[in-house]
Amino acid sequence: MSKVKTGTGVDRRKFLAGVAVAGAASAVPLANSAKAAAPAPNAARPTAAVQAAENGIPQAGPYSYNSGKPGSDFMVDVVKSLGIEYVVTNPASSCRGIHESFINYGGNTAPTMLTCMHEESGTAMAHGYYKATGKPMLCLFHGTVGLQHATMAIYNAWCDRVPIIVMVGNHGDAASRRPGVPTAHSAIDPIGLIRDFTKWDDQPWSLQHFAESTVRAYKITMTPPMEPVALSLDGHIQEHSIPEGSELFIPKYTPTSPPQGDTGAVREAARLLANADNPVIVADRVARTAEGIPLLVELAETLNATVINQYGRMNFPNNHYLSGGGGAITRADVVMGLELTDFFGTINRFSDSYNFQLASRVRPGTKLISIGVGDLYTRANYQDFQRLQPVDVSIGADAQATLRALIEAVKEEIPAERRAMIAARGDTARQAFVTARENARRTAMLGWNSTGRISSGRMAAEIWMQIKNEDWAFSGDTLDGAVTSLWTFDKHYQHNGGSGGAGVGYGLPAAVGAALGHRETGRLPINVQNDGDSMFAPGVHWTAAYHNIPMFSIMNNNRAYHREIMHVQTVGNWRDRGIANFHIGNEITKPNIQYAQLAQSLGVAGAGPITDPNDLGPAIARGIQAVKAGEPYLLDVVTQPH
Amino acid sequence: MKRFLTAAAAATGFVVLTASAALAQDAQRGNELFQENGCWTCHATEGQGGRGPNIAPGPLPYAAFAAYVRMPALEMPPYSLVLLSDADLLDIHAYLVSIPELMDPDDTILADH
Repeated sequence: MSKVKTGTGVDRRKFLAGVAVAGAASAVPLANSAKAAAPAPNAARPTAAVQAAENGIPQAGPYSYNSGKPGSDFMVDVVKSLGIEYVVTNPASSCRGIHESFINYGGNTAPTMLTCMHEESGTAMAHGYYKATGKPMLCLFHGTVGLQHATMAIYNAWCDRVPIIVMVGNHGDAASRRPGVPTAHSAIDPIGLIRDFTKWDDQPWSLQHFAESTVRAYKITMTPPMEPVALSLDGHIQEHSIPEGSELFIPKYTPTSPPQGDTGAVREAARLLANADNPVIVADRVARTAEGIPLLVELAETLNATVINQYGRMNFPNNHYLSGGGGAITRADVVMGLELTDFFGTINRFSDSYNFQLASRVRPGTKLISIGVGDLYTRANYQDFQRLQPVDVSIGADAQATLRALIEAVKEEIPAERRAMIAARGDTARQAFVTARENARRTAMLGWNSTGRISSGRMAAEIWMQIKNEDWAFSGDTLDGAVTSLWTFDKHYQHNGGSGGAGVGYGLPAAVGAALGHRETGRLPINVQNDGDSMFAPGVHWTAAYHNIPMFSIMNNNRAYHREIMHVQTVGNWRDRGIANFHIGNEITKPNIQYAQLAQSLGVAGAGPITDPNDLGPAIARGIQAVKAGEPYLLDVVTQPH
Repeated sequence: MKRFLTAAAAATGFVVLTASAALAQDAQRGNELFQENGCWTCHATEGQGGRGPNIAPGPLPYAAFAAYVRMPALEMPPYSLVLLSDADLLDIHAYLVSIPELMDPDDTILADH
């Protein structure tokens, strides 16, 4: 690791070369990148004033900031060393130093800045982008008001185990910060707001401290359990020059291998699975990468075990004969949960009735195995860890990293006399799979010709018939499972999972982030977008238009917060008060929101509302053509409640 | 389940009608009541299901249907006589009975699915 002495008399070229050597293996475009990327000057002759400014004295401005390399330039070098491709921001004066360095010193490439219109949207974009690409995004926000906006989206990422690097601007020194708003926007501990749902944070007090903490933050957020991390960037450190005599360096980043399960515990799990009559695997956030899917397929086929995909990640192809529904749990004698957020909720059935009904979904004596990183890191305040589920084998490890060892152990543990029975189990599963697929087709017929409000099955079917020969990627609402039962999901990028924390307002910006991730591959991003969710921060439509992010949003417009209607209706009926007033506080009508016009006003082409199911197919076809031409597009479809 | 529904119907003293008697009710009014009473918010406007299960076409026989509406076993909110009269419930059932059988998927775009 090379050290570089800097100061007023710094050798700029030497400094940058040193940084590049000390940085990570990823290519880091440095000093001249801004120049290289700058547009050609226009042909206008310089005015007299410009000539005077160029030739006169002083050549530099009157501020001491110009006396050396700005601190935030070094910060940009650090960010570049990590290969971060995008910085999403809503501009904040407390970040103005590093903002200026990103665009002028860094050339606005690797990372490129993305303009969002709400910090919640920006964070959700980073969330969706990571799950589409496996790469973290940097979020740059005000330390107080900006972070307050971003908070719910950070909680979603926390619950969904998604790495995000949040950087917030702050001015710590009361004596030297600007009075008024900048002081009101400063805090002693700005990140305290989100500490309950971030994995690590720091407030660097020097540039070297920043370099170490940024590399550490990246390392921590990318190590399972992946969670958001945060850094507070002091305004003065950003804006002032690198102190004379500084010997700055960028620590090398080496990824941490995710933890694999203990050998003995993996062997015990393998014994239970190999000797089970009806093993069932439940997968939530297993396939961190594309490699996770074939591993899970191999394990399932070795056992002919049904796999229930909870779709926290893609995990398992739904056209595989071992892909099963939740009912399989009731017949299991061994249930293995892989990266389950809610094992308790998986094997217990809760009915939201007046007398709080809770019942086990598994037979007495069913053996339970858990493999996941959830046991390795837990915070106290927020209850996303769910109820405690006692299990028979608990392996605190990354499930994907453990699968290879588990597969080999299972192969060794299967008794010879059970192989025929396991093969027969596969035949039964194949028959059940064929039946389930036909049932899905028949279920789609329910309400097939409903007009006014189009059925979930019809909408899922109409979209599928238009995209099935495309290279598509889905995000958004599954229309009560109609999407996952009718479409064929067999590639790791095709399902972007849910929000994690069920914080509403996630869907649209996460879909924009995912679509950005798919842009370079030319995939067709399909977002089934809930109406209420989209209205928390619809400005992200503009972000998609401004940054030329093609994506197809199909509005699932049921014109209400329907789940909440059901809750109010339930309580009203418990109390014999009825549902005459259920619309109050819940409906999104009078006026009906014109989503296509809203999108158009933000630069996104749009059509609808569609209320006749026979109009849906042609409208979807037109939308796909627009997206293929490189546009974001929205189709408003009025739908049944769900 | 069937035994539970029968017992529930007997315990609450509901009139047990045959399917043909239910059909004699006013299906059009039943449709209006289905929407007005919020049945559609969980079961969708034609009973095809959504957050709640599909209940049409081919709804439960009226006795079992009524027993469940009055004393649901799971998450469905109960509809007492204060909220919904037997006559209204009969009409709602008639509406569900009137919903035509499902189309054959092979007669739709899902033919080659």
